[in-house]
Amino acid sequence: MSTDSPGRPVHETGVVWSLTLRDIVLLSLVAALVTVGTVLVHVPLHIPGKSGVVWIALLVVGRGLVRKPGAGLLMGLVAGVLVTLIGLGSESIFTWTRFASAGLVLDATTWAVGGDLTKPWAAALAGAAAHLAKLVTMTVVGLLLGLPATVMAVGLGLAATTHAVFGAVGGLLGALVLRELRRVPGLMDRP
Amino acid sequence: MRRQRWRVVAVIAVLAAVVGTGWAVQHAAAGRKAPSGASRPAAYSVAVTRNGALLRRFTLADLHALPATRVTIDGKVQDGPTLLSVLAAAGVRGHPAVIVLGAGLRDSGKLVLPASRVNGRIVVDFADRGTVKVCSPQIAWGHWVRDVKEIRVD
Repeated sequence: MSTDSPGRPVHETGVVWSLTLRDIVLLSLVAALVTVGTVLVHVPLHIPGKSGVVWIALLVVGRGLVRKPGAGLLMGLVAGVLVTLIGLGSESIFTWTRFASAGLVLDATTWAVGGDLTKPWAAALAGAAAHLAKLVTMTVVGLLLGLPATVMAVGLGLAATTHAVFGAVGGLLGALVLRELRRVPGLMDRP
Repeated sequence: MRRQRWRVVAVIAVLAAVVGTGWAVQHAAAGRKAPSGASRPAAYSVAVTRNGALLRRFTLADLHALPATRVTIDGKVQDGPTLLSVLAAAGVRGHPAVIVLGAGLRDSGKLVLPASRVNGRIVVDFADRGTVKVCSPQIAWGHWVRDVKEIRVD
């Protein structure tokens, strides 16, 4: 068990089907921010995975605010469906799978690192894992869509590295935001 | 506490394994060079069709053989043949309406271009990953089609 302040235990409380109204509002808000960040923000940097800094940071913030196993997956699903629907015409109909897989892996790694995403190293690790999950999902979906394996393999090592790095940076930013949000009365989940 | 430490080590090991696998796959694919020496995937091609009939199938080598043009969009150079030159090489004359279809992995996978919008500024760009994308300064970035598979002519 980890602590988010001296002597104060961090619990992963309940599971995703025991969400409170506060949890639902927070998850929806973060999912909406992920959607806005993905659809509207276009970073003119030609490096694979650069956009992950923004949305991974937001997912980490959301998962850090709602400490319930499955919250990451739910948030990823909602964000993915919103991005797919709002970005209709410019987004792939499989976009939701990226966010869902990232949310799922974020849940798993959050559990593995002890549940406290305000720790920079833990959030960086969780962010890197979530962002790599998105890349793996895209690769698998690409193969399922009939793209040749040789095409999917081009630049895969570089993409994996940059996804891990951008995911870790996003996780770090998320941890910093969470640390600030911890000071807001009533915002952090106190079991 | 000790169990958690092992979990963290396991997560780091999995991440390293995924990144390592990515590099290994990338090197393995780069090793399969085409006879020309370029590391181009032979399985990839772009079909130009009209009413369901195949007019011509272009490999990357075929597309490289066409006269190339170069445009800079958002600071990045996009180079390759124009859409019009690809259509001409497939035996299509004039400026017909066109539907560009891609894999749909990174975008909607579909771009509808009425005849009035088909011009010499639309580029079939060679992407780094060994596929082509259809782009133009006149087409919003979000509507570009990557990993193009088919160009349908009306």
